[in-house]
Amino acid sequence: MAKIIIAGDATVIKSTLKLEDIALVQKSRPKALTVYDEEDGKKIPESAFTIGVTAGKGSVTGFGICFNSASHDQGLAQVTVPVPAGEGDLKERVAEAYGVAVTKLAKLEAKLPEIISGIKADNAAMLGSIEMM
Amino acid sequence: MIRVYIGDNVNYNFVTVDPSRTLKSVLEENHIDYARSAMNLDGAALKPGDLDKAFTDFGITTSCYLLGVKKLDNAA
Repeated sequence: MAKIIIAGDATVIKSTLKLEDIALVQKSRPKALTVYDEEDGKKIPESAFTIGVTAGKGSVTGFGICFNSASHDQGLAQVTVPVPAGEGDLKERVAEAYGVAVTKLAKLEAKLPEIISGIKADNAAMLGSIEMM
Repeated sequence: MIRVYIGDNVNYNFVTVDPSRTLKSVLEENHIDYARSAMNLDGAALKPGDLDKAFTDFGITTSCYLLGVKKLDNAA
């Protein structure tokens, strides 16, 4: 599951997925980056939650997460957002503001590794078929 | 990500997009003809050049309505 790190006035959400892998799926199979809640076995369209990579400012909302940087050690996708304003326990405020997004992100983190492996295998096969004369 | 309700004032759907994208790129991706109707963002008319701006340039952080206003008066 992704980590939420509070550092000063900033909240960093760090995924278990690599930024480059999310970018790869975004290019090859963008629909795989969306999860839905289900009711009676049917997807609820209004519950769509999507992740992606952006070159601009990252964001975290109830509709999805835009990652805009990679961790320095393992290249894991991360986004930095402000600590939510308000009174009370800081951890609870962060959990209330970003907890739902991180929970939904976990669903994608569970299903995407297999998809990423498949895309890389397809790309490797395609690369192997290229001849140079 | 933000939710954009996109279409015209009669029929619209919603999509989830990166708020750093331009309005035009989202309209084109969803096959919306922005050349033949007056485009509104959250009820405010867009001016020439506005479609090349990003949602963040308009202060959109969560959701918005990006609709083409069709004039149906006297339509056949």
